[in-house]
Amino acid sequence: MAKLAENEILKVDGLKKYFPITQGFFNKHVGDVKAVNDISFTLNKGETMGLVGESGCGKTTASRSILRAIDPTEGEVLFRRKNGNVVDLAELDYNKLKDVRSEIQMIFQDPFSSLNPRMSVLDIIAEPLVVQGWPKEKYKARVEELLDLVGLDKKYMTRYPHAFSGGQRQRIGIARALALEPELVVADEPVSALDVSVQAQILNLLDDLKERMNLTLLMVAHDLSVIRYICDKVAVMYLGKLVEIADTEELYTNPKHPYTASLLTAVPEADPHVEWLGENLKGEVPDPSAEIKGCNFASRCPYAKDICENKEPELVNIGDNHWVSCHRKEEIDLTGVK
Amino acid sequence: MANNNILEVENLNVHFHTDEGIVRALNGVDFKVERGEAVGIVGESGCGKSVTSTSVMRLLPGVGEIAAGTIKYYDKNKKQHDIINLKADGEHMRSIRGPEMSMIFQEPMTAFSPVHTIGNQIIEKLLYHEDIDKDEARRKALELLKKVGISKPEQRIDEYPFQYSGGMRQRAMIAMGLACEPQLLIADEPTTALDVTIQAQVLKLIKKMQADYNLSLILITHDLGVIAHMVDYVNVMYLGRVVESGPVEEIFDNPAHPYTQDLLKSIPRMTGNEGKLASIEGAVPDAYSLPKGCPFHTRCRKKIGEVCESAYPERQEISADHYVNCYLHQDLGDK
Repeated sequence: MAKLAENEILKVDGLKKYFPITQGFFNKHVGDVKAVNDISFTLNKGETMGLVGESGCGKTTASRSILRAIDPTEGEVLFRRKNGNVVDLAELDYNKLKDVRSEIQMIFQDPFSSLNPRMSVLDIIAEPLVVQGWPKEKYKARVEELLDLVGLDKKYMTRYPHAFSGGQRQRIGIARALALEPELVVADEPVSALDVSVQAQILNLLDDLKERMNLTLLMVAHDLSVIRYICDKVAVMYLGKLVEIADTEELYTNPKHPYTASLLTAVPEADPHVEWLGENLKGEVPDPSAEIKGCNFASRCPYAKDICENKEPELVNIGDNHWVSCHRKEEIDLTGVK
Repeated sequence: MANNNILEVENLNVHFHTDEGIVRALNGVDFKVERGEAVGIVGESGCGKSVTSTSVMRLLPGVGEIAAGTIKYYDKNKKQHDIINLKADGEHMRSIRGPEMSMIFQEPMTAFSPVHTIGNQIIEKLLYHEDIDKDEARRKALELLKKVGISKPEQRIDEYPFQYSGGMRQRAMIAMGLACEPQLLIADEPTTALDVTIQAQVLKLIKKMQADYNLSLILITHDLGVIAHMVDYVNVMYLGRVVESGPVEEIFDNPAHPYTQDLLKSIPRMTGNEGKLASIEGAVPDAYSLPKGCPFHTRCRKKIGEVCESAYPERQEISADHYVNCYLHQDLGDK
């Protein structure tokens, strides 16, 4: 089995998730939707990584394959457990997986559908504790502790989710995710369903918890300003592949992949004095089931040349842990944000 | 006549009669749109920004009632129409809705009928309002689709909405909004459902169309980034009222209402933030039981005291065309 370096907690290697397309009476297999197509990255202990991309790029599928909510088609997901053992999440059987799952938790996007309306806050937050066999006397005190941690009053413990606002519900979801002191937390768009004023509360809470609990966080999001606020490093995903990985500051100020640059300049900054360059991409994302010979971004890339359409670029390290997959990374001059 | 306004909304009150009680969605909304101007309405969910636009279009659902206020619309010939007193589904309102003012909705998948082709839906609008035959209408629809940047419009015109991608559907929506060449275009969260690169395309298209057709625009959104780059004048709404309004640069440079100030400080920036984000404590109060006085006093960190709970503060002009409803900007005297 491949190894993890001392400070690494997660190593994803060649992860693929294909969804088969079938046709006809016999469900003949006619193709695959390549939702996640060979992605690799590592995550260090205590680090927060953002996985960013537009809808349909496979970021949610990637995060779900990593925690085995769905079975990946191919690839390795090495995870260092609390006790120091390294396991491959992609090939663990059901029983062993249950044990490991106490160390990996998830925060969901929609605070309205991710909490069972028929369970009280106490039951919701205690659920992971119950599953892991905590006795009832012990878990109540733990739930109180958790409510305090996420900034909710413990007197709310007996209430049901409908009594809470979106922001408060998201706090409950976070408390549930932290109940077992996980090593790794995967947050899938944790703030995108919230209003800006409430979004700021939750972002501050996550930032705070990250420091206090030395959390390792994998955050899936489409909002680049949110990613910038909370993440130490960022992986940009396009059509099932990672096109660029770098430390946050480096990625935002010195993007090397044309797609990253387009994403950065497409966002209008909330300041009328900052020039908005807007869009330089033509067309829309291609069908993820199509066979693409070269670079999968070539059809929309303003810098595409012959080589881009014929040869697939590799994700290479260009120094300082900045990884880019582009044939023309040295030739083109891209602007980021200041 | 010096009046160059195309729309004047004054003291608009809209109530929804639901089983749980009356929801006071709008509690005296005032704003105006000058001819050719782009006006933004910004606020968080539940503040009444969409209710404002549907009231202007007279498209409120059955449980919604315009309880008080006036909406005046000035048409191509500067003739005044008193929108509130028109029958919502009457002949007069229908002659305004479409050729005079038109709307782009947030979710183009639900705004289009799924069982008619995009082309037929645009043609239907043209045939209803204009005195032309089918061939002429089809030619016009084709031209519109071309204008909004739909590739292969000859083929696309006969396709159904599900065959379009999200960005294209929104383009088609804009084409439909522009059919019959309206004077006023209301765009309600036109890019919220779209990805950033597609959002940029659609926003640029709306800007271009505004210039090409010399449109007046009302842009409704929760995204302050979109507001900053798309409009000339901003109305900030909170719980059914416009709490601050001003030219876009004034609002961003010198926000006067504590709500606007905090809202601006609570957004994460692309350029990075200094220190922590400011967040507004608590959540938006329930619309069934609105707080007395200033609706923001329950969350305001600059609350003066009882005066904020007593009555709603009057509108105050603090610089040219910059208005705010807040006691901080009033001479309270011996109160």
